[in-house]
Order: sequence, then C-alpha cells, then structure tokens
Amino acid sequence: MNEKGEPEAQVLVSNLLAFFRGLRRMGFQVGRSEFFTALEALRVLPLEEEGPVREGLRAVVARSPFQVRLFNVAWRQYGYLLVGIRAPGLASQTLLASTARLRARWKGMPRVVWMGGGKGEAGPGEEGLLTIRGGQSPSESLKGGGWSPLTRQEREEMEAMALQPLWRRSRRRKTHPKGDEWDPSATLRRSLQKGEAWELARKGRIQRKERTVWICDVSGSMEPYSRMVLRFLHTLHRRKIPLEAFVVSTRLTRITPALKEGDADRALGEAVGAAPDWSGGTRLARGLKALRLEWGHRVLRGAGVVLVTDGLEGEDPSGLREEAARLRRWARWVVWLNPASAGPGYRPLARGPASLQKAVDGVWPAHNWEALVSAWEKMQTMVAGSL
Amino acid sequence: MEAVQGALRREGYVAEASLATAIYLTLALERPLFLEGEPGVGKTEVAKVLADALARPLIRLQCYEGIDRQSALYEWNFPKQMLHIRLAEAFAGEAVQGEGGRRRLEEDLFSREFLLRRPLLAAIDPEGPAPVLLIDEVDRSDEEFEAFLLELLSDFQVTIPEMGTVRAAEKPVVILTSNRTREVHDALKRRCLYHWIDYHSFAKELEIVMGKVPHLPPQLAARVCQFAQKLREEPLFKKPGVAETLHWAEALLALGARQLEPQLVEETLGCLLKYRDDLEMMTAKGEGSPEYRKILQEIEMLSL
Repeated sequence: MNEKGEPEAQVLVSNLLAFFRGLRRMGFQVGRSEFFTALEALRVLPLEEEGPVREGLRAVVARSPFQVRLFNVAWRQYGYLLVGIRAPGLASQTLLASTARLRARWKGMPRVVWMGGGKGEAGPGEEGLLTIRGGQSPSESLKGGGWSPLTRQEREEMEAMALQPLWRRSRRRKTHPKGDEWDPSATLRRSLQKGEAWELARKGRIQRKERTVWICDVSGSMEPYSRMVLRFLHTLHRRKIPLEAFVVSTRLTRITPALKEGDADRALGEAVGAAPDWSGGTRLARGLKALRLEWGHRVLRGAGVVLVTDGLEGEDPSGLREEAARLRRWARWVVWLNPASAGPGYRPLARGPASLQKAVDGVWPAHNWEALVSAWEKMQTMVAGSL
Repeated sequence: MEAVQGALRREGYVAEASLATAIYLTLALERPLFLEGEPGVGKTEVAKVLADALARPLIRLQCYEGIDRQSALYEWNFPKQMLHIRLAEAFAGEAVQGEGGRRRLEEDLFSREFLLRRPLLAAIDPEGPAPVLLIDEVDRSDEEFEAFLLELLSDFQVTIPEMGTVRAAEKPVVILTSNRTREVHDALKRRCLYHWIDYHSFAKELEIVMGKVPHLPPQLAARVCQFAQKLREEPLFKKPGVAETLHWAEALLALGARQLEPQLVEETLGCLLKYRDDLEMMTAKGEGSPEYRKILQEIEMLSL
C-alpha cells in the first residue's frame, strides 16, 4: 500500500492538473488556490467512490448553475478519456481541450449540446458528448446586418460626451461634514484625539450610482436610430456607469457582455452579431415578458428602466401596456425614449404608443444625440430628486 | 457523507447526496458554503438543521441593502461610554486629570464591557462553542458589504481599531445563501464551496411533505406534490418552492380536506402563488376552464 501510495498520488495530482487545464479552457476561472482546495477536498473524500469525488470537486470549482451543468459533462468526458488512455499528459490533446479551444476561437458563451439520448431521458450515467458551438447557428443568421465602422465624427461625439452617472441618495450613511444627523461614534472617536468633544460629527446619506436597464427596440422601423442608441450605451459603459442592455426585435437578446469590449467598433459589432433578429419585426410586449420572467429577479430590482422604442407594436397593443405596467411595479421607474416624438406635431395616436404613454413615468424624445444627452440629464434630475 | 445525510435526516431534512457532500467538505475543510437556488427550496433550513445536528448555536445575519459594520459586526455602546466618562469625572476627579488617569479611562472605555457584539463578531468570538453562522440572502446586501465579508471569511479575524485584532479560536461553520436576484461577486464565491439547490423531484418533495406534515393523508400528499410539480412547468413569474408546498399542505390539513376539490384549490391557491399576475393567470376564466383545473384533471388522469 505504502509503496503503491506514492505513484498513485502522483497520478492523481497530474490527472487533476490536466482536468483543471481543460476546465480553464472551457471558461472556468480556476487557479492555484482552487487547485489546492481541490487537493484538500480529495484528501478527505472517499476516493474509491465516484459520486462524492465528483460532487466535491464541483462544489470547489463551479460558481453558477450553468457551470454546474458544464462541469458534469466535462467530468464525464474526462472520465471516459482516462479509462481509454492512461497517460494524463495526453489530456491536453483531447476532445475536451479541443472543444475548449474552439470556444476560445468563437467568442461568447459556449452552447452545450448533449448528443445521444433524448432530452430528459439521459440519466447521470448515460452517454453524453460535449460539443460547443460558437456564434450564430446558420438558421438564425437572417439578415447579417453587420456593423460598419464608426466614422470620425461619431467617435468624436462619443469621446466629447461628459456625462455624470445618475446619482441617487442611498439609505447607507457615512460620516460627512454636511450630514444631517449626529454621528455619536465619530464624535467620540474625534474627542479621543483632542481629549474633549470639540465638534459634533455628522453623518449623512451617501450617493450611489443608479443602475439602468436599457431595452432597445431594434426592429425595422427603428433602424435609423438603433446605431446611435448603441453608441450611446457604449459611451455610458465606458464612463463606468452601471447598466444592463437588452435589444428586442422579435426576441430578446442581452448585449451587456458585448458592451464590455473596450473598442467601440468591436463591441457594437458583437452586439449586433449577438441579436439574430436585428431589424426584424416588432414583438415588444413579448420581449418585455421574456425580460421579466428570465431576468426580472436579477436586473429589475432597484434599477430604472429605459425603453427606447417608437412604440409601434406588431401584435396586440394592450399587451404592451400591461407589460410596461408590470415592469413599472418591479423597477424603480420606467421612462420611454421615443425617437418618433421629435416632430412638433407628434401625438401618440396609434394605439400602441398611446397605451404605452400612460404606463411610464416620462416620455422624452430621442431622435438625435443631443436629445439622448438631454434625456439622460432629465433622468439625473428625476433620480436625484427621488427618495 | 452518509453520516452527514443521516444526521440531517434525523433532524427532518431530506438532503440529496451532492448537498451532503458539499456540507461534509464544508466541515472537513472549514470553508464557507455558498448555497444558491430559487426561493423556497430549503437553503436557510440547511443552516438551522446543521446547527441542531452539530449541537452548536445558530447565529443568523439577515442581509439587506445598506447593512453596515455597525449592524453586522460591532458597535460601541455610546450612551454607556458617555455615562462612564461622567461618572469617572464625578467620582474620581483627580484620577482623570493626569496623563496616566486619562489613559486608564480610555482603556476602560474601549474594553469589552462597552462593545455591542453584532452577529459576525459573536460568531468569531463566541462565548460557547464555535457556532453555525448563517449569512442569509447575501444578494440583498450591497457591494461594500460583500467586500467586507471577503476579509472576514478568508481569515476569520476582525480588527477593531480601538481594541486590537480578534481572531476565531475555532472557525465557525459558515453558510451563505443567495436567491440569485443578482450575481454575487466572483471573489466572494471563490472563497466558498458552491452548491446549487434545484427544485426537488417528486419523490423527494413527497418525502419532505410526509415528514413535515405527518397527519396529511398520504394520497392527498401525493396529489399536492403532483400539483406543485405541474405548476412549476407553467410560465410563472415566481414558481412555488417546497416551502410553499408545505404551506399549502398545512392549509389543506387545517381545512380538513380529503382530496383536491377544485373549489378548495381555487380558494387556497394563494398559498402557492404569491403574485397577483400569477394568480390571475391560473384562475382566469377565458375560453374553457381555468388553467389550474386543467392541471387537476391531468393529475386525475395520471392517478387512474
């Protein structure tokens, strides 16, 4: 046992190293500290049983429900691999690693497809192969809208914009010379320095950046404005203003990850690429519903919602109003930026816009860059004045 | 692991193997456990049951937006300190005058006597055995507090400027829960073991209901669980968790129900669905019968 013990441990460690390398390429953030935690976990786990070891390592490595699923598949595949080939060094040349490499080539979240076995029927021990598809599936690359590079003027416009975040007074209090409340703790602390209480320290509410959730209609009728709105969003993001961005045409796409890219052309190109339905029809109500059900709990609480749309709904307009009213209940506020409302004689007569107008806190024009900036300033006033 | 599972079961908690493994590792490696899952799947219950099973006290910290050091960690008892100064001045006038006297007074002021220990400090520096610390709904707190937790959870020590560093002699068992209303920062998750609690399977849910509401007729319990499982397949804003199922089962028991009558179900549906939108959707009398009746019929078909 003792003689065998050494090499066994070595094999274990190198297997684990190779497995971690695979995981890292699949997008798991596992580093040295996770590795040592995993080793510690292995020390106390019964190594002869597969279940506890898998679940234990998963508890160390995974950090979201999606990663839990991904880990299960990776583990199974790595298991097959080890049974087939003994030398762990080969692990980097395997399917697991190569699929991960493919993933790195195509940006974005890997889409995991389980092959073999119907949906739901495959038990934990069933066959399962992991393939990762990147980018769009062929059926969805409808228009291939594409993104033409920013012009010089557009870039200058974006760089020149000096915008402040939406400051909101938080409930959190902090010692502050102009605070509105006595801070006994700070008073006493200061009195210690000087031997006596010379001044009453005060505390007041701190300011916090309000998060906004942007829902941008990118249907055909909004075509002339979508590009500008996206540029605006990217600029906000570059100014470290917290936001979540979704685009909606016939379906809902979250483009926040794309905005994280520093270069505007690349970021916006990716955002456009992420939404297969760019410049399609309008199913705004459906998009809002999807947002509420899928993302509602996560992004709406404590945030303000900005709807950018002309309000021309392809489907039942009363549905749009209902959804907007529901959003209103979840978010702190909902405003509607309407590019179509710029004309002096504009009145929301179509049923869609008319009903939407009643359900939101404010309707402002957004037909050009200046209008967007001034709408943002109005939001600032609104947020600063609340609470 | 079987021991953990068994111990939890004795306390009336049905844990699947993977959760038992995660708890076992938490105990063995002395690492915090980060539990995530939809509301009402029994995250908080894990900590309570664990405390009972280990015979350790449970310290609970409920997070909210704006939670700060004073309410989470410690605070000085200012009124008492002020009073102490006054008393010292009144009764020992000269003693406070000199340099030495003042220092002594300061030491007095910032001693344990004047420290109000909030949950986190109480967990690190307990009076009895190391407790089970439950930090509930971390996702509700703000980022400042998360960063503050980081420091605490990696070293299990706290520095109180006026007093010095307090280090945990024995590390407490820490359980963090999150409803995933927002993503908790990666740095916090890195210091923890992670476990995702999913909605329970029918068999497990039935076991839980039978365990917690023992007087409910078994047949009705099965129907109740089937109904809850079916309900989760609907596009609801908030799907009912096990907590809601239990709540409903208790309500039905209190009403003396023998089987799921449509009328009764409609009246008690509020136990399962807590949002008006959801309730309206399930009970709306559009064309044909309302949604919940369809589910009832499906269940009838299944049991035939």
